[in-house]
Formats: sequence, C-alpha cells, structure tokens
Amino acid sequence: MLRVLLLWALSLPLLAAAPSDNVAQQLFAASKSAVYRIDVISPATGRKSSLGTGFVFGDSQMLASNFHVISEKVHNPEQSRLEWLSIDGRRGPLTVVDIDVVHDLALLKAEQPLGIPFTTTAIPPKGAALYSLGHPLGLDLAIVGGTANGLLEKALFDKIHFSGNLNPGMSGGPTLDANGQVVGVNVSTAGEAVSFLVPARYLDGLLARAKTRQFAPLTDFKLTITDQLKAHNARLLEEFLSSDWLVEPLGNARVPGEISPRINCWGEQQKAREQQPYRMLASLCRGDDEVFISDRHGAGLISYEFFWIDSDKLEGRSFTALYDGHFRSTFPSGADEEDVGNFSCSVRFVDIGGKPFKANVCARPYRDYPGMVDFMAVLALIGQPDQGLVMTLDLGMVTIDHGITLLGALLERISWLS
Amino acid sequence: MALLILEISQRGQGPARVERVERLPFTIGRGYNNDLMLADDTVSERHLLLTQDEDGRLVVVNRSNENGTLLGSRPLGERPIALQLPQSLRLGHTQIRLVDPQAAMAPARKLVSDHWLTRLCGRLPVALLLLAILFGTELWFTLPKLDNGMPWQRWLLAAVFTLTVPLLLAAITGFVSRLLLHRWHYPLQLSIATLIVLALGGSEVLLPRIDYFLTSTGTAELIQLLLLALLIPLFAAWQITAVSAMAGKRALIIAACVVLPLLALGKLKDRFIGSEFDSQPPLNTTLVWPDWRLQQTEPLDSFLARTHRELENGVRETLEATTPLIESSEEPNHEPPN
Repeated sequence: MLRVLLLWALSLPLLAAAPSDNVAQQLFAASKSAVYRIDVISPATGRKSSLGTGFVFGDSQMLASNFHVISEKVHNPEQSRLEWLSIDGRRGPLTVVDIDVVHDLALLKAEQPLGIPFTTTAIPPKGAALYSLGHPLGLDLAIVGGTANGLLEKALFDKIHFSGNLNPGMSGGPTLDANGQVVGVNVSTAGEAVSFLVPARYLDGLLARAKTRQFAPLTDFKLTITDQLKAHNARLLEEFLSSDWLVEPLGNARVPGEISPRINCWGEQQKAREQQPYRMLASLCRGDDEVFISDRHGAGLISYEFFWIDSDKLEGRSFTALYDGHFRSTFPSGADEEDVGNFSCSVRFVDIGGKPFKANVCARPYRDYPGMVDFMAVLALIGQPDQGLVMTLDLGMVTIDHGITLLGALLERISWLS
Repeated sequence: MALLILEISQRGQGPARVERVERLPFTIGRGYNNDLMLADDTVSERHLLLTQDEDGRLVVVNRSNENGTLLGSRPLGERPIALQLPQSLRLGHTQIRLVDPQAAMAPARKLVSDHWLTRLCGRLPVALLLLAILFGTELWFTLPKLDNGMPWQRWLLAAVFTLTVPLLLAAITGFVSRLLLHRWHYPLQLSIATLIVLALGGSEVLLPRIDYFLTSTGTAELIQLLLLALLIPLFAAWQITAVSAMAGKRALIIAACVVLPLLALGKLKDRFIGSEFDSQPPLNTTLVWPDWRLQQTEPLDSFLARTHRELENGVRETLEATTPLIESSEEPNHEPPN
C-alpha cells in the first residue's frame, strides 16, 4: 500500500508539469519586463534593509505590491526610501501612493514608465494551474507553478489558497493564470506548498480609489490605516452579530463556540487525577490571521477562550485556592511603548444568566492610531464551592466600542445547564 | 560634705566620672597643678576656675583663650559668671555637669523594659505558644495544597521550615542583645520575631482580601502603605528597646524617623520613575472563599455601560499622561487638495 502511495506521489508532479512547461516559459518571457524587485533602503547606510517584488499595474508608472514590503517607508518616511530594480539592473525611486492595510496591498509610483500594466481576472476554479512570479529570497526573478484552491473559509480576510511554494522576497509579486492575467498578489505562506494570495479584486478597488486622485500620494497614512481598520472591524462585527452563533455545552455551562465561519475553535480536556483532583475543559476560539501593521505588531487579533473547572473532591477554600491560579490571562502582542500606552482596567462584579462573575476589562491606546486600543477581558464565575468558569477575550487594534459590543454579545449567550 | 559634685564625661569614653569639690577655689585644666586634671588635648593647661564671689555665690571664670568654655550654648568671657545648679559646662571635648550634692537621685534604670507586653513576651512559655500559633496558622493556610494533591509529608515539612525563620531571626537579635546588654533574652527575641512573621503572614492574607473587596488597586496600595507605616516603626521600636537600654518613646521616634522617610522615598520613586511600560495589564484576579461580593453584582447592561465609561477615561488619561496632546486629529479630511 505504501509503495503505491509513493509511486502515485512521485508521478503526480511529472503529470502536472508536462503540459504546463511551455505555458510557464511563455508567461515568464512575456511578464519578466513588468515585474520588479522593490528594495527598502536605509539612507544612513545606503544599503537595502528589506526587499520584495512588485509589478506594473493600472498605469505604466505604477507598481502594485504588498503593504508589508513597504511598511517601513510608511512608518518612518525619513529613515527609508524605496527603489525599483529591473532584471537588467536599472534602478529608480518609488513613492507610496495608496495602501489597503487590511488586505496588505500598496500602490507605488515610479518617475518613468516601467512597462505594460497587468490586468486582473476572477478567482479560477479549484485545480486551475497558476504561476507565481517574484524574487525568492532576493534571488533572480523566478516563476513558480502551483494550483488554485479557492478562497479560504477560516480566514478573517479573503485569501486565495495557492498550492505552490512562495518564499520571502516573492511578496508583492503577481500570480497569473495561464492567460497571463493577475489572479492574486503573493502575500504569505504557512508551510510547504501552502501559500496565500490576495484576490485581485481588492487591487482593482485600491486602483480605482487612487485613480480618483490622479495617483496623488496620500498625506496621512496613519489616519488611512485607522480608517481602514475601523471600517474592516465594523464589517466583521456586523457579520459576527448577524450570524447564528454555535452555543455548546462546557461543563455545566453553555458557551459560544464558532461565532462565524471565519473563526476556528479547538477543544481541550484534562481529566481529574490523584495529583490533580479536578477536571478542566477548555474551548479555545480564534481568528487564524492578523493584519500586518509593523514588524512589532499586527491588528485583527481575535481570541476568546472558556475554561470550565470542577471537582467532586475539593470544596470551598481548597477549590478557590486552585481556581484562583487559573484566573489569569496575558495579552499576546509585541507592541511596545512606542506603539501603545499602558493598560488601564475596570474591575467589576456582573451577573450573567443569574450567576455572579468577577470581571477585569482592560484597554490600552495606540499612540498613532486615534481611537484604536488593544482590548482584553478576563472573567471568572465566583461564589461556587466546587465549580468555576473562566472566560478571556483578546482583541488587537479595535475601538473600545467594538470590544464592549463583542464582549456583551459573548456574555449574553452564556447560559447554564442546571 | 562636698560643696559641689562634678559629673565629667567625654565623648565615646563610656559612663561619666564623678568628682567631689571639697573646697573653693577649684581649678580645672590639662596642667598637672590643677585640682581636676583632664586628659583631653582640646582642654587648655589652665582652663577654668570655680570660686565664690563676695556674696558667697558660686562663680565660674574661663581662663582658656584657645578653645574656651561653653555655658550651655553661650561662650564664657574672662568675667566671672554666677552659676545656678545644676549646670552644664563644655571644655573642648569634655562635658562637665555641676550638680548640688543634695540633689535627688533618679531611680536606677531597669535592666529590661518593664512594659507589661515585654515582660509577658519575655517568658519562654509565651514564646513557645506564639511559635505554636505560627505553626498552626501555617498549616491551616496551606491546607488547600494538601487537598490539591500535595503529599502530607511535604505539607508538614513546609510548615516546619516556616518555624526556622523566627528561630534564626531571634538568634541574630539575641546576639545583638548579648553585645549591648550582656544578656541573650532569647524568649523575648523569639516572641518578637514570631510576631513579626505572623504580622507578615497576616498581611499576605489580608491584603488580597482588601484588594478583592475594594476592586481598586490604588486603595489597596494605600491601605498597604498605611499598614506598613504603622507596623514597621512599632516592631522596629520594640526590637530596639529589647536589644538596648533605650527608652520606648525614644526608640519609637528613631524608628519612625528612619522608616517613614524610607517608605516615602520608595513611594516617590515609584511615582516619578516607576511609570515604566508594562506589556500586560494590572489584573485584579484575587478570588476568595467564602465570597461576600455575591450580593453586589450588577446586571450586564449597566456593567457594560460603566466598563465602557471607565475604559474611555482610563485610555484618555494614559494618553494625556504620556504624550503631549496630539494635535487636532478631528479633521476628517486627509485627502490631498487636488
């Protein structure tokens, strides 16, 4: 059986490669003059500090790429500059015209025509052959074959699942169908041959917006980022609140599970043992991706967890001593004092479905994005001698309003079996 | 019968030496022909003369033009000055107190403070009883660990280890007492050390409860500070009187003068330097059993509304405290003019 599987696995690439050989060659020849390496150069050293790929789009002077490729220029305009580099070694400066931070896209403008713009097309059916162009690890321009696998279901942002090998440096490069039209923009990878593309329609949206300004660069990027995050968050929240939430039993409680198909939930169980005379059940739900903001932190973190703890051996004081140790949470973010201020918390006692909870709700502000905070809540069921329920909620870069609304919606749906 | 008594003390030279003055005039100085010879190189050869004036009053005459003589805090000239007893004179490093021979004597100083608490705690059975109370409370408060799967031998052993803290502490303070009072007073030292450990343990139990009931880190911190400001000087003063001959009031003043500024300094440091970035929130996660907060929970709506308000205020304060006001970010227009 094993041998059969192996043979099948070996023969697959051969079968797939044979017909597409010519297509890839033709595509590469036709596209190579419209795909550029993008270098982020620090003026202090005159050398590149990071790089990516971009391609001519919308206008002969415009390049499309990823926001994360050029984010350094947006955050520290004085400390970096952008340059395009053609495959025959020519160079030239670039300015950032517009960004779509949620979908990780950027439009850049050169001072001279760079080639014939690519055009976009719709997402092809699963199994269609795709060809991705870029500078893997900063090497010479390469073309990588793979297959389309449709839109990801479990994602907070629309992404095309591309079964092909994307490597760092290919970010911002185009992924083409056999006709040479852009299906999506290379953005990230999650392991061997599991890669993701930004659907091309978001690129069209970005281009349309920039066109209305005749490609004049944005003046306040931080405010644009804030507005885009707020709009995206509002859309997500509306979607969450309008969908039917799965409510599942956890111990004696019923707690929200997957509140949207975009959220992924996991379960965990620890049985009572002699050395650990209590049972713990966990329901861990989170959005599986984040919006890239800077090297230090992202946005769009959403995670809510429930822990049910009970014991038929312990009571009162002993149980509380143990339960106290589980009433903890840490906020997962690399943001530092340049980005955010310290958390401030509100501590209150609240009634949920007839049972009392002690609640810590905390928020810390972002300095450069007005109104945006990191939001965190930790609640514990109290007053029960032998059972407890701890809930945590972590939200990265949202408004306080957003956090409170989602917290309220989650708490409203907690109920009790007995 | 002596005319006058002189109590002569020199800094760092131990208790005062007492001399009788049998007749006047009486000379004092470093020279060998004085009635009172002082081996003090800051005293002149002929320094001071005690004599009587025409009316028979006692007068003092300064004869030193080097370091001179102080009467109280007033320097003496060459003119004779009449004296009222008792009176203090300073000659260089030497202090001389002139006393009437008929003056009443102060009662003898007690070897140990005779405060009832000190006397009570100085008894061995009391010290052992306190130690037993410490052992018992330690066992009681770690009982949940036994319930949660800790083997009973380790539980018992941990409590026994707690006892070594006051035993060792008492050995140290006892040794100080041995140096200063020539006695160990071990039961007393043990009682004080045990009470200190009990107070520490008590605050460890009490403070989280205060924290829990007030749900305000600020208030709990204030109460903690007040407790420290009260208890540390009290225990420190008691400890000082137990190892030295110092009077209780004086010990309390010294302890307060050392401890309170230190506490204030620590607090000030936190206030001005301690506002560092913390990547995690200051959560209030204490849970207690039994729980008396159950009656005071609020419904979800008001909880959300009040939390919302508190967070907005907190976030605004954080921004105001750490950054100069952000210039008008109200303007919605961030599009370029064309």
